[in-house]
Amino acid sequence: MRTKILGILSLLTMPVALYLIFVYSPNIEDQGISGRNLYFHVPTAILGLLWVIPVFVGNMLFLITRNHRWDRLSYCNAEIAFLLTTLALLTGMIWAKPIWGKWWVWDPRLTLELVLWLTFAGYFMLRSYLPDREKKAKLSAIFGVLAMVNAPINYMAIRLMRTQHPQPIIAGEEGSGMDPEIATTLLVSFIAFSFLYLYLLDRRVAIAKVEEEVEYLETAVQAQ
Amino acid sequence: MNNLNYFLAVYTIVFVAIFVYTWLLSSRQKRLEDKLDELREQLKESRR
Repeated sequence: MRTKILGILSLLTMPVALYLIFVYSPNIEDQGISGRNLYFHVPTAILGLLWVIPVFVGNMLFLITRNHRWDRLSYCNAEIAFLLTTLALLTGMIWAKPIWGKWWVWDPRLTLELVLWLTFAGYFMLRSYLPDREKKAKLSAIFGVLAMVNAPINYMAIRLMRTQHPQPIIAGEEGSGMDPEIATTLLVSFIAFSFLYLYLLDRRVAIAKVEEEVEYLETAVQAQ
Repeated sequence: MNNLNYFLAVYTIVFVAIFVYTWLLSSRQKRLEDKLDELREQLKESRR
């Protein structure tokens, strides 16, 4: 039921977001149409950083309670966080090329985002190599902590350091900010993408439950 | 400045990635449900 509601909400909000992106929003000064990448890149990057929190919380709750339900929730969230981080890097690179003239620069924000992506890549590599469920969950927690350490530094990087990455337009310094049309479009895109990724998460968690049931039944069949 | 190609590339990548991930989830779900039915059947058989 919840999956259906999230699916319907994303189906309702996404066309509105796309209409605002393509028709309603003005171009961002000096950037032409590629400035509209803002509406894909910023929600993806912010959600990617926020999604680290449930991964970390799931890992910690597993370590405290030893209940595998938390580990399941944590790795399902990590899969969505990995997808978001990948998209944030790719959309950022494609945006950077026409504006900076380069696909990539070793700027603190970009480097920290790459480190976050590598942390999640390590997380899934580790999980696929370890057969023991308990060990898998315990060692995954280390990667959850590493991602959680990265997220606030990553968020503050453009506030504390001089970077090639633009300064924050949300909760930035005095004089920062954006036009009301751009702010509205960004907010609607953020809401639409949030519903979409929550829908994907819900489906992923349901699949993880079936995976566990299959594993349990396989053991039962082998035992007979 | 017109960078339509870069904008379309971003748009395509985001939606293709989401579509591919959704398709992977659906095919994984289908495979697991088939496996689950097969295992339940095997268990039923062995109990007879």
